Amino acid sequence: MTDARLHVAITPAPLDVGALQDLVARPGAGAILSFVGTVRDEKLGRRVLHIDYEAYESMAERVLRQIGTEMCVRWPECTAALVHRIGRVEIGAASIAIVVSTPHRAEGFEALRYGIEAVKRDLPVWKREHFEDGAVWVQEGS
Amino acid sequence: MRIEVLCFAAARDAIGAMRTEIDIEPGTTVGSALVALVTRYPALESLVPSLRVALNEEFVATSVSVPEGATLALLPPVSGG
Repeated sequence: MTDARLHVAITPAPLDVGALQDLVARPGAGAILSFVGTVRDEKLGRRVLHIDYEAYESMAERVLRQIGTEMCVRWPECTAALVHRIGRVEIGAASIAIVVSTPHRAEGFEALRYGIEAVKRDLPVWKREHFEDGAVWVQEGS
Repeated sequence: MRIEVLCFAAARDAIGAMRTEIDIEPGTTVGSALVALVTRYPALESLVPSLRVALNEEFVATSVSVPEGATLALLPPVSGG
């Protein structure tokens, strides 16, 4: 698999999903699918003000690359981009984007689902939710 | 031998720093290194059952020996995405 089929990044910059869709576009692709995770304004009835994401950056980039490589092995015609944002992320803004292109939609949905579930399980990133009365580390995937 | 220990999220709060060092005997396992860390930082104790550990940026089991010059990382349950 060549690097041209996989793009990963951990970044403090706002995520540009359109740019990632352009990045994975291929003449042989009949489907481009995107998963975008965004910051919700409430948690169990409490108002969330914003979220801070902390990463073990060097390991997180390595794990993202491992997940993306596995996607490209399991779905050999898949081209993928996986980007996670760190630092303060406001309500409604994207914290993660996974974008894939495949010849047909079915393998695209499968690859995308595999990718986000692997991120939720293994990516060394933690979110700290800020409420009006304080902040807490989130201990479960959500 | 001295190894570097990195702590994230709740583990970082528990020791009050993102980075520390501990001296361990050659051949010490990850599990024994954790015990040594809890002795020095009792606030880590309640986190240990849920921690995952990485050695040189790879997840490892607690039975693995810590190699010389390793970086050990204490990783609370992840919540990215």
